Amino acid sequence: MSPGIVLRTVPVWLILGAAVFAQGPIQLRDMTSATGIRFRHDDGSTGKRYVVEPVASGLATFDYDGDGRIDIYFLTGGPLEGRKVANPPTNALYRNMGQFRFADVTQRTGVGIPGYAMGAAAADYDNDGWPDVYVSNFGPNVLYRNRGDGTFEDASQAAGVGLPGKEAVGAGVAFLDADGDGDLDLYVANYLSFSYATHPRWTYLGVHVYPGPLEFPPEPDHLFRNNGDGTFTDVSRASGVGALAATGMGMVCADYDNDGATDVFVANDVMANFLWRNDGKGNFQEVGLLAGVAYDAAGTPHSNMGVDCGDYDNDGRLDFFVTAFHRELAVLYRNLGKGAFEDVTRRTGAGEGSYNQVKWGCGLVDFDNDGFRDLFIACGNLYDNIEEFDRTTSYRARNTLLRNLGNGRFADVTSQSGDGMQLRNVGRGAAFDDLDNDGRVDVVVLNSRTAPTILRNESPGGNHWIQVQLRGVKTNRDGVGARVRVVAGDLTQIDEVHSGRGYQSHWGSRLHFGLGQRDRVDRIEIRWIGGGVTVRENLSADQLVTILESEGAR
Amino acid sequence: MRLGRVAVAIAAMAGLAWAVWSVARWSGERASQEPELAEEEIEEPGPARWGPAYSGNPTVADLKQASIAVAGEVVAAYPDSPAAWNVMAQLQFHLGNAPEAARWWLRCVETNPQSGDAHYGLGYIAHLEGDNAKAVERFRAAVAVRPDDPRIPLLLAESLTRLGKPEEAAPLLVEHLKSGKGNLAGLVSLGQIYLDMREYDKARWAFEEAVRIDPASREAQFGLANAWARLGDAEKSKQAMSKFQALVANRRAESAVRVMSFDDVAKGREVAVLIHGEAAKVYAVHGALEKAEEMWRKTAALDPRHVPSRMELLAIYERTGRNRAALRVCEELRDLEPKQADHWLNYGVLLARLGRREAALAALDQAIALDPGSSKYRQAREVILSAP
Repeated sequence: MSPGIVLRTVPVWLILGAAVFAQGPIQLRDMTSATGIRFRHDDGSTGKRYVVEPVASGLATFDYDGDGRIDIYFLTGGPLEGRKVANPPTNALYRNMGQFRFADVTQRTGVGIPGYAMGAAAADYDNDGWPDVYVSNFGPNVLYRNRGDGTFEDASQAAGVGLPGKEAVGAGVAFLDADGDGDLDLYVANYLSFSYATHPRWTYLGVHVYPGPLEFPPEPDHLFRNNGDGTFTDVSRASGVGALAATGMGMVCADYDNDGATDVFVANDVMANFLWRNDGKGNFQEVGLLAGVAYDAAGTPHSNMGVDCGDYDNDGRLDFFVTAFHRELAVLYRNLGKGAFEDVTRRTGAGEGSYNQVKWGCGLVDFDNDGFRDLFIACGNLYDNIEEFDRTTSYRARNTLLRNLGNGRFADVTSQSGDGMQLRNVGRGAAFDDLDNDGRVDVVVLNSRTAPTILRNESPGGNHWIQVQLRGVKTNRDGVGARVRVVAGDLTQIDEVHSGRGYQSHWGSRLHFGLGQRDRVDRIEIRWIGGGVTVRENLSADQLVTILESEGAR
Repeated sequence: MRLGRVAVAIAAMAGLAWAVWSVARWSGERASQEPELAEEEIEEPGPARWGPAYSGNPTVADLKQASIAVAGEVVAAYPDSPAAWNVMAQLQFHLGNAPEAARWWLRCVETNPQSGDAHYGLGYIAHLEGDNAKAVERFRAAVAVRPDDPRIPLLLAESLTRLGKPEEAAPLLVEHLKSGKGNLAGLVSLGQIYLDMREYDKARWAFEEAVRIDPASREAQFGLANAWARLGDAEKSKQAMSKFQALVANRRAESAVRVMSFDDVAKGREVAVLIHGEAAKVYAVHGALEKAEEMWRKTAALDPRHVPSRMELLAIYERTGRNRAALRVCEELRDLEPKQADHWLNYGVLLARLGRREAALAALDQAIALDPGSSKYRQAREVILSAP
């Protein structure tokens, strides 16, 4: 039989099928230019290569006005010493107008106080029904209180969380109910102590480069206890978290040991990561080394950047994923139970596709709604001149998408996942939310020194999903820290409501679960902070369910 | 054969034939120093004429420029030589131009499929770029050419493991360790692969072996702690983790003491030394011994603490009978590594050749004091003593 005859006998549907398959089951389309977003990140650089420049900034996606559409808050740096500008850049809030159109409401809402922003988290700290925003800066931080009328006020001073006089470079921040008293406390990670006077000049083979973080004194983090009256008390020392100084970057709060108390993971740059175990009363003990998340499998501290958590293998335990520098693998720590983790990066392939890039924002997100969380990694080198001394990597880089195959392995599907994954940019913070309410999680990446990237999830496949929005009553209104368990036939998934995660960013207040071909959900069980349980049963798929703490409580 | 550090010692050890002959030859010429003086009078171009890179206080730009010039010269001298292309590839790689390095190394393997350096270089670039499939292909080719290169099995095993094939990586390392060359790094790597395979008892064995070789290995102690933890022995895990913590604390203390600033000139010097040394080997292979010597001299000038280049020069001077020059190098080596008994042996033998018997004996006494268990230094001393 000649090859020609074989070719002619191949059914047309098979050829078409192969073409569709070659595209990949996840499709992320670049929508940036159509969104109306004009924001451009500015790192305030002057050519002196201050250490703060390349590590800025994160972003937040949340529904600030309660219209059911997720809005975007971009952070930016500001002018550093030696640079004068007439109008300093500001953070920018874009209101989601629907259909992937966004309107700049920064001025109108009042969230554009100039500063050098690093990280942000959103949550309703005063339980008034409206999400507030905390911004961590190089310099004093800002708490924006949402008035509920479409505007915010600067509540930093009134709340006592502004850290006036602070000279440290901020990092990731997160709201959590550390002491289980029903209101949200605030964890503020810090990067390092920086001053223009002590800034060193580094060269590599004659090329001017950014200095490393260990050139500067590390900074302890802060923990603020919510007093319940709109003010906070600095309990950094009393709680234990102020005892250790490190180079904090991204962070996420999660109950890793299933004891009902929210713990804290802080990714530290070129130092051991912190895992602060909470005793339920807001007292923390650092257990990163014993838990197995301080270092990689070889006992080496990475240049840790961002961190997310999620149950990648659906075994009922939250795992951590931590991004790192080029020539370091991003690390997936599998939760083994009993407070122990194992670096399963090589076993799972979670480090594939991004080894030669500096990795920042990250998310364990189910993009194809098959019931298994995939991995998105925002990439882009720290050095804008890296190609002058290392061409195994590049300043502008493609982000990486790893599809969870559901068998314990991830596959690098970046090349097959749409035009949005082919862009080369300088990613930093990344956020993942359903921006068009179509049941597929979209992507926003903040790119250093340029415009962001907005990707619409157009994955085919017709898999089902369900989204869960929590409304705390006795506990914090956003349900931050609540554990959600979703059972659909043979598929059981868990997640938790986080406020602050990834690389100094915030997203995902509305939980999202892919269901595969299952079109019904048998049971949703919520364990609120403090132990109260709410159950909803027999729900149809493909909807957003809002669950009040009092509903069906047991 | 080059007369390196070990070769000199072996020559002395092998019945001290070389030393006996040398001492006897020169002891009768104590009064006749003319040939040596004549040698010393030949004015050779030195660091001052070679340029700022060799001046003792170079900039990174000077060092880069010198490296570029040397690689360019060797390629111009031998335009059809894969060995010369390899020097250019190494230069490009170390200056960060991986695509250009790959181009030169590809040329090498196309011309000479047995080019181990080129296969290794291409594999290493693929490894750095995260292309593990390509890295495996290249490292397999490299290990076929160079089965004794201890670096290759480790990188091949790492690439295989990242590809999700630890079951192929483990036997490779087991075989490598049988050769006795893998040792610490191989055992640590094997232990980590066994952890990936959930072969925890085998992992424990590998890490214990590694700890036996070097109890101060952080990686080995950390791996051992993890292996015991997975095996369910919390107490033993805790013990190993405590040792790891102590080692980490030591490292932090070291870091706190040393200046953290990156020494860019040191990096530039490292690259220049490598390129000059590689160029010297190419010249030597092609029989251009004067040029090879010049490269080694330049290497020594680039790095006043560089031992291998001085050993090469010592061999050249010894082979060509330039004992005063050899003595100078011996003195430098003695000062660089004063606890290295072989340097004192070489120094003593040369002094004896030059008729400085008492000084020669003193040098041999120093060698004996440094390594009293070795008989070769005493034998050399006896030879010098018994010489007429």
